[in-house]
Amino acid sequence: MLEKFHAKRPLFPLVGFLCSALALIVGMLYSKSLMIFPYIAVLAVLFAAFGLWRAVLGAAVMMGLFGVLTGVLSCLTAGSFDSFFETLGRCLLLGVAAAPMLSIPAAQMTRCLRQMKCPGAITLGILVTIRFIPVLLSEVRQISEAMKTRGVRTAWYRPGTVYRAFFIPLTMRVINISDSLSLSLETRGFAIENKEAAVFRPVRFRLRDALFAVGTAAASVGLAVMV
Amino acid sequence: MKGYFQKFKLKDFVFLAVLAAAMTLAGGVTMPLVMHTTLFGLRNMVAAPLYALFCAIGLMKVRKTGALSVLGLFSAVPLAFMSLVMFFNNVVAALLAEGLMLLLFRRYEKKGAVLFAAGIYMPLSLPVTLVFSMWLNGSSFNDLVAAPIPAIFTSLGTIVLGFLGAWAGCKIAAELQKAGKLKPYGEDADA
Amino acid sequence: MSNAVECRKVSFCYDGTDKMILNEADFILPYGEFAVLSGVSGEGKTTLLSIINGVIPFLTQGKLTGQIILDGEDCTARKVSERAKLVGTVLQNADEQIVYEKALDEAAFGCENLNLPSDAIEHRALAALELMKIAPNASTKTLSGGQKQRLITAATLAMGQKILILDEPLANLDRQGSLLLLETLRKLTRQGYAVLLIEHRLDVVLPYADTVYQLTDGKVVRAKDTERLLTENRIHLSYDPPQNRLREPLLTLSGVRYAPGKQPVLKGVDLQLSRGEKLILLGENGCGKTTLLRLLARIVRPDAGRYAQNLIKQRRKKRPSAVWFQKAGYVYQNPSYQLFMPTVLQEVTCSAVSEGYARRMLSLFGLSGLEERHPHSLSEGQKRRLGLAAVLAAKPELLFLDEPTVGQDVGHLTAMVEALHTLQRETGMTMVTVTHDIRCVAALCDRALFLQNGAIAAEGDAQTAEDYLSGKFAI
Repeated sequence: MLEKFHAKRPLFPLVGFLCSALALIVGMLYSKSLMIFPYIAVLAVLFAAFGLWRAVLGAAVMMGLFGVLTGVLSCLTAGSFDSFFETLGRCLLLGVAAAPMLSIPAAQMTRCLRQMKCPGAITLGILVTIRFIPVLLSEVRQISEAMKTRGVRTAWYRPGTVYRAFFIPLTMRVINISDSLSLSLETRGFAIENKEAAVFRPVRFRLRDALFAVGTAAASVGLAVMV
Repeated sequence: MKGYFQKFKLKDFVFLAVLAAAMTLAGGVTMPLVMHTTLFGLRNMVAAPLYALFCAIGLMKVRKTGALSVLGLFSAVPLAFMSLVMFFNNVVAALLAEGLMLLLFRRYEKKGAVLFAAGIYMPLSLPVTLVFSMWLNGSSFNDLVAAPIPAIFTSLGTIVLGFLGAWAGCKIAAELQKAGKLKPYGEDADA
Repeated sequence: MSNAVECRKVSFCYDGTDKMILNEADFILPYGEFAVLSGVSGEGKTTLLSIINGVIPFLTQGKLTGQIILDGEDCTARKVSERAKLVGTVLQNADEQIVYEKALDEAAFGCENLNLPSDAIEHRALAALELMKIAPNASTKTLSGGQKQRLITAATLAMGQKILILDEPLANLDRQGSLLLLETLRKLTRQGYAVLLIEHRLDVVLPYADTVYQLTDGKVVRAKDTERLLTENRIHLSYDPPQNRLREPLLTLSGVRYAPGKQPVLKGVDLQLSRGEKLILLGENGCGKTTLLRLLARIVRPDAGRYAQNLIKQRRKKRPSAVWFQKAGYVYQNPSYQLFMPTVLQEVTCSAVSEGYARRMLSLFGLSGLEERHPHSLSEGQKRRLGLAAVLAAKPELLFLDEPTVGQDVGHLTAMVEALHTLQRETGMTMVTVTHDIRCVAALCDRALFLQNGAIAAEGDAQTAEDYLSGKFAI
C-alpha cells in the first residue's frame, strides 16, 4: 500500500518519527506566517537529499491539491486570501512532515521498537494491523461480490441489508483470520512472555540519521528565528 | 486494583490488531468524503458510527481492561505514517474512554460498559482535536468554533452516532455468540 | 534413539461434549518416517495434531489425559511456543498467516522467536526458501496461493525442528506444487526428520509416504493394506452423459482479454459453452482458471473481446442483474463469503424457488436436522455444502463451481457429486467447474479445457482430464 513511498535506505525509525513530529509541531506553531512556505521548501529539499524524494513528492502533491481545495473553501468562508495561504501552508506542512514516516517500512519500525524493548505483542500487533489492511480490503471486495452473486445488493440506504449481508460475513472473516493467525504465530514459537526473541537484521543508528536530525532541527530553529 | 486488570493472551492482541485494520479501512472510506471540510466535528461525526461498531465488537470479544487502549493504539499506528495529529488524537481518546469506563464500571462485565466505552470513544476525540488545534495553531476557542450552531450539531451528532454504532456492534456480537465465535463474559478462561 | 513422537494412552473430548474423540489412543512416530493420517472428516485427525503441538489443551479447551513425549522428553505440560522448538507445524490458509512484506523476513520470523543469532537466521531462512523455490526478495503480496503455502512451509522448515506436522498442506497446491512439497518432505525424512501429514488425497501422497494411519473408534490404527486403502479412496465417480442434450450455445467468448494489472491474466480466449454441458477448467496455479470462471459468471468484465450470453434476455446493460445471478449460480471456494443469514434454513430459503425445494436441498446435501443452527457454527465441510445448497435452491440454469471438493473426505465427496449429478439430470443445468481433484473430475466433466499462461492451450474429455491430474498427460 505505502511501499511506493519507501526509501531505498530508510532512516532510523525513531529519528524519522521525531523529525516528523518536530517539523509538524514547529510548522504548526508558525503556520500563520508566510515564512512557512520557505520552511516547507527547505524541509522538502532536505528530505529529498536523504533519499525520501518519493515520499516527499507523493505527499506534497496529494496534500497540495487538497490544500488548494480546502484553501479556496476557507477563503470563501473567511473572505480573505490570508486564510487561503494559511490553509494551503498547513496542508503542505502535514504532507511534507509525514514524508520521513511514509518512507519507513513497517517491518523496520517494529524492529526498532523491539530493539527498544517494546513488548513483542505490541510490535507484532502493529505489524499485523498494517499488513492486514490490504488483506481485509480484498476480503471486503470478495464479500461484496459474493453478496451480488446471492442477489443481494448492499447500499448505504439499505442499512438492514448492509448489516446482514456485509458486517456479519466481514466480522466472521475477521475472527477466522485472527484465529488462524494467532495459531500460526504460536506454533512458530511466538510467546508474549518471550523477552529473549532475536531481531533479524537489527536497525542501526548511522551518521546519516544524525545529520538528518540536525538538518531538520536547524531548519526548525531557522524558522523560529526568521518569524 | 485487584480484579480491574486481566491478563491478555496472544489471540486477544492478534484479534484487536486485525480489527484495527478493519477500523483503518472504515476510516479510509469515510474520511475522503469530509476531508475538505473545515466544519468542526464533522470528520468525527462521520467516522463515529463505524469506529464505535468495531470497538464494540472488539470489546465484546476481548472483555479485558486495556482492550480499548490497545485497539486505539493499533488503529492509530497507520495514521502515524500519515498524520501524527490523528495518531495522538486516536490514542488519547481511547485512553480517556477506557479511563472513564474504569471509573464508572470497573470492568467490561456488563454490556453497558462495552456500549459506553465504544460509544464515547469518538466523541472524546472532539475535545482532544480542539486542544491540539489550539495548542498547535495558537487559535482561540472562538476562532475554531466560528459557527457554534453547526459545531454543536456535529458534536451532538458524534455522540448519537457513536452510541448507535456501539449498539449495532453489540447486536453483531450477539450473533457471533449464537454462531459460537464469542463466549459470554466469564466463560473465557482468563476473563 | 528415542522416537520423535509418542502419545501414550491419550484420551480427549472437547469442552461441552461427552464424545471422546480419542480414547486411550497410543501413537508412535519414529524419526525417518513419513506418515500420513487419513480418514473421514470429524474423526479426530486435526485433534491428534493439535494434541502433539500443544494447541490442545493450551489454546483449545477440553478434557485431556495421557502423555505426550517428544524427542524422548515428556512435553505434556509444555505450552505451544515451547513445543515449537521441537515440533514444526504447517497449517492451511497461508494468506492468513503471513505478517511480513518480504519472503525472507517471513521465513526468518520463527527463527527470531527461537532467539537464534542473526547470521544463523539468515542462513537458515535462505536455505529453506531455496528448498521451497521462493525468491528471498519476493513481495508476499504478489505471491500466488500455492507460493504462499510454500512460503509458510519454508518459514517452518527454517526453524529446524526435526518433527514436522502438516495439516492438509496440499489443499491450495496444484500438481507441480504438491509434488515439490512431497519430494522435499521425503528428502527430509531420509535425512532423519519425522513427518506426519493429514491429507484426504491419498492417491497423491501415498507414493511418498512410508505408513498410513487411520483413526477408528478413538484409536490410531496403522493401515496394513495400503493398496486396498488407495483403491477405496481412489473413487472414480463418473456418469454416462445424457442422451438428449441440447447443443444450444449458452455462452460465447471471442478474443476475450482480461488484464487487471500490467500483465494480462487472460489473453485471446475463445470459448463456447453449450446448454446442459459439464465443462471443467484445468491448469496450474496462476494460469487464469478462476479468473475465467469469474468472467464467464460476469463477476468481472473483459477488457477486450466479445462476451455473448443466451441465458436471460437483457437490454444492453453492462452490469449483471439479480435475475442473472438467480439463473447463473456461483459457488465460492470459501463458503464463508456467501453465508449471511441467521439460520441454516433461512440461508437456503432466502433465494429458493420454494420452501419445499429448499428443504429438499438441505436433505440432498446432508444438512437435515441443522435448520436452526447458525451457518457459521457449522464445520467447514458443512458450510461448503450449505453454500452449494443455498445457491442450488434458486434452481439456476447455469452453475459455476470454484474448487467445490477441497477438504472433503471420500464419503462427503461422493454424496456431493451424486447430488450434483441428480440435479443436473433433473434440470439440465449447465456446469462449469474449477478443480484439482482427480476423484471427481470424470463425474463433473463432459469436456475439459486446459489453460496455460492465460490462454486455452488444449481441449479434451474426461479421460484427458484424469490423465492430466495423474501426470500422464502434459500440456
